[in-house]
Amino acid sequence: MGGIVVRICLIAEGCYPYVAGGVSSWIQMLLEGMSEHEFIIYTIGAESKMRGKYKYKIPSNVIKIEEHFLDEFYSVSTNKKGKNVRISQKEQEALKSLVSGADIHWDVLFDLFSGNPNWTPIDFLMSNHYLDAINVVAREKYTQISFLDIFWTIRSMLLPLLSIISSDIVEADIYHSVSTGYAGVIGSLLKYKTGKPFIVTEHGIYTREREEEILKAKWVDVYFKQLWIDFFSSMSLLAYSKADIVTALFSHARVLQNELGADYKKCRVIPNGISMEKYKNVPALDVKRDEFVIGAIVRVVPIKDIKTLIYSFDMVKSEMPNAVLYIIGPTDESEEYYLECQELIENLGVKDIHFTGRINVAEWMGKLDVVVLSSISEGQPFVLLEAMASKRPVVSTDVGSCRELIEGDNDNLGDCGYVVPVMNPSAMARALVRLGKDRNKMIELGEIGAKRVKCYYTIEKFLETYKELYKEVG
Amino acid sequence: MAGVGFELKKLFRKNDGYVNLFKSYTISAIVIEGPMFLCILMMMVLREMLVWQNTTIALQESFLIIITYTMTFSMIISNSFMMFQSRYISDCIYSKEVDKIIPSFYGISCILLILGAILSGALVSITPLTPIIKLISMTQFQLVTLSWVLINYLSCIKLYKDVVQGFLVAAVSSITLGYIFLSVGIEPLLSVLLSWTIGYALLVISFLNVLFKYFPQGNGNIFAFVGALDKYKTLLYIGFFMVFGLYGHNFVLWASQYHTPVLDVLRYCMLYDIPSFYAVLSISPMVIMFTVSLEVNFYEQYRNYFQTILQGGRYEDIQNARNEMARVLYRELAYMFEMQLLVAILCATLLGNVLEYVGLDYSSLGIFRVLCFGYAFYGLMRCSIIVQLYFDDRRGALWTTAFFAISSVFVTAVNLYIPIEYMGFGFAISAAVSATLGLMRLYWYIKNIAYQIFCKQPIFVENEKGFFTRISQKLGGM
Repeated sequence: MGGIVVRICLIAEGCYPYVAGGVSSWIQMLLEGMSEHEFIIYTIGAESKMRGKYKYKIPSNVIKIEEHFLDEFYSVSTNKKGKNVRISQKEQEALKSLVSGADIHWDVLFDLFSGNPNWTPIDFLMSNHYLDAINVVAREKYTQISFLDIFWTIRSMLLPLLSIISSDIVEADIYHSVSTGYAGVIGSLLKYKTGKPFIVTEHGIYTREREEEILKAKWVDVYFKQLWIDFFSSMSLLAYSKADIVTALFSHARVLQNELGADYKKCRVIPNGISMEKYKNVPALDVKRDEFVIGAIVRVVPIKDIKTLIYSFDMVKSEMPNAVLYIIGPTDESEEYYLECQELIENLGVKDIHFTGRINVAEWMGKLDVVVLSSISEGQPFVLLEAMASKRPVVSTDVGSCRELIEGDNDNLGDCGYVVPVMNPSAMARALVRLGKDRNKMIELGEIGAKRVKCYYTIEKFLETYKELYKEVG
Repeated sequence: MAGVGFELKKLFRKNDGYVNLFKSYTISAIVIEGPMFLCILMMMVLREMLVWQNTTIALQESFLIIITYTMTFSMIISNSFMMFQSRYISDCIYSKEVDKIIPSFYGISCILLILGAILSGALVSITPLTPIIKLISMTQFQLVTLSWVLINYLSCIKLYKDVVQGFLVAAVSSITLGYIFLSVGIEPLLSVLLSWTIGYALLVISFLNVLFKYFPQGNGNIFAFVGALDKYKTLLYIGFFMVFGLYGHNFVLWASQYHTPVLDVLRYCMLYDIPSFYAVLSISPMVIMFTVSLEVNFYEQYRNYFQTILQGGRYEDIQNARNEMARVLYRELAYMFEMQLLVAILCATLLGNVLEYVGLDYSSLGIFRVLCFGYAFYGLMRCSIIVQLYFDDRRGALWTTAFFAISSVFVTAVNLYIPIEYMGFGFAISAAVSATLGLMRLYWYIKNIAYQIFCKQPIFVENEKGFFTRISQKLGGM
């Protein structure tokens, strides 16, 4: 393969290039780091109004961006009546398996819908075949639920999925989806249609994330929660089974993938990497300083649990009046949550909390003594890697790969900060105070962090591993 | 669509015992068939007055032919709109846009009056009638047309009692006026036609009063309803085919060697028209049964079925509701048709003998006997069409009525080669086959009703915008 340009189709769902965040940064990094390859971005966004509104500078090796939006599938204008295409027994069975969600015959469905202009998803959802399939599940599976609800729920559930299956084939040498879910389905379809290799990379665990979301969601009727969860998990299962390689960011995620149905032999851990170069000029921590400056580099959104951080800072403040908290990151993604946070600060009467908005992290890192992360859910957060590269100690909740980053995976380097339980302000406060009162400890932990990044989490290592992987499968 | 039945249902619920049941049916019969009988009464009394005045048979015939043509042709044009009109009114009531109803009345009347003027103008222009008679005939044509439209509006809101009252006023006043005009020596044909016309004018005025009392005046474009034709244009065809099928066989006879010429150019067929007139009256029991029993009982199940779906019924609940609905419908249809067959047998035998006694000849009697069964089948088909439209199966109703309209003309025309006394078979065969087709379609539809309801629903609701909507917008409405 040496010297030959490989064309890679990266499939992204709900992130790049419209939303800034971990997955998007990861993609940008991959694109910029592999100028020798060509990329096609196949992206599935939520709303079509985002079309063309990119948050990233698209590198020149991206030759095409295929944009698809979920809301477009729901606004297909149609005047036609249900069409009753004659289909085989096998296809009928496959449609039933799709509707009932058990042991879905994906290959038959791919052949039936993909590149078949005579039979669109709308045709199917308005056909007798659909009703037949619904009748079966209503009779056998959901005997105690309103038929009309079953009919509409499954219709609205299947429409985007089938629309995606019906979309045109994108030619590439390697397909690489950056999550399971809809992106995983597209990858599986393309793999099935072209026979080209298919890689799945998961930052979070899609099935788990959807499950949590659905259990909390008010828009899903309680009877249908399981249905939706099964729906998403069967999509993940498809991606796992079609993929040649499934990668995770850290070893615990790999275990979860395996539990959720991915073959252990296919699974690999490829951690994130960052550029040490970028952080080499960050000033070292001073042995003496009047203030104790805590930085939280986060988007102000509920999943980051800023409220716990505020409570915890309130406790820190009572012991260390010289403490200052900078919450560094965009506040406009969830205006409502931002307001709630401000109200909380006001009610507690806690001083010295500043929201900075968007800033350049590398420049700011020098002003901070400690970096804290209070998230409820994470994959492998870049902020921790950045803090560690800047020789800053970290305090983080025990989510995703945070423990692995802080305590190491049996690497004998030692801890580079403290891991605290989720939603536990006092534990977090204790850890911060412990650091704040011992600046030598801060410096010591900072050094360990930098060492760990250098050993395992550099961008060079990250890119090298993916280059190898592409070479291996291609 | 469920009409008078609901008003009447109260009677049946409250009362028990055969006497009361009999009373209830009698009231229903008066309400449902009253207008037609009053109309016939008006015509017969006025004709008797002409006889009493010693006028010529030709003059009496002229009177009857003018009334017959008026009734028939005004019915054909107004009935074409009837199904559409009912649907439009119930849609307006459903969507709480009752202020669109009066404008739609103006709009539909306007179209029908123009059509009526052309049609009646053409008809009178070729007759040798005097200008004054021509003018009155045309006026009366327009009034009768308006009365059909109005009856439909009032029926939709169950104002049957007002309809009967209106007819009573019209009948009494036209008979009285006829007597006065003839007594003071006004020319006989002019007297009866003028009194008839004034009677209908009073009828229209009283109906208009009721209409304006019940619906807000509304404002806006009187042609706004035209937009709804995009969706419901098939109802126009269904309405037309239905009424055309009803009279088509008569027209075939008018065109045949059996016709009787009147007023030089107009035609009718004494041998066929008179028995078919009596035979059509014989289906009154079925019409009453349909309204009083079938529509009421079926509608309850029909509503239950859709409510089960909409209110979150399980698969099993929906199946059960459908089966119950089908069971009630078929039971009621069978019951109704059995009874009508019995009535037809009685009419063909007993009433046949009576008619023979009053002077119906052998050929006409033969036609009458066959047509009694023919109209029974026609009634059955009509019921199946109405039920089809309950399910909004416009396609089924269209094919059934189209088949009926075409076949009744065609088979009657082929029939012309057999002896005249068997002439009724053309219509009877056509009606029997059409009724069978209609019932088969209904059976098929209900068997597959889930597909019809669920699969035909668009994924996203969008208004059907077509030719008619554009026309309506051009006329300034919507």
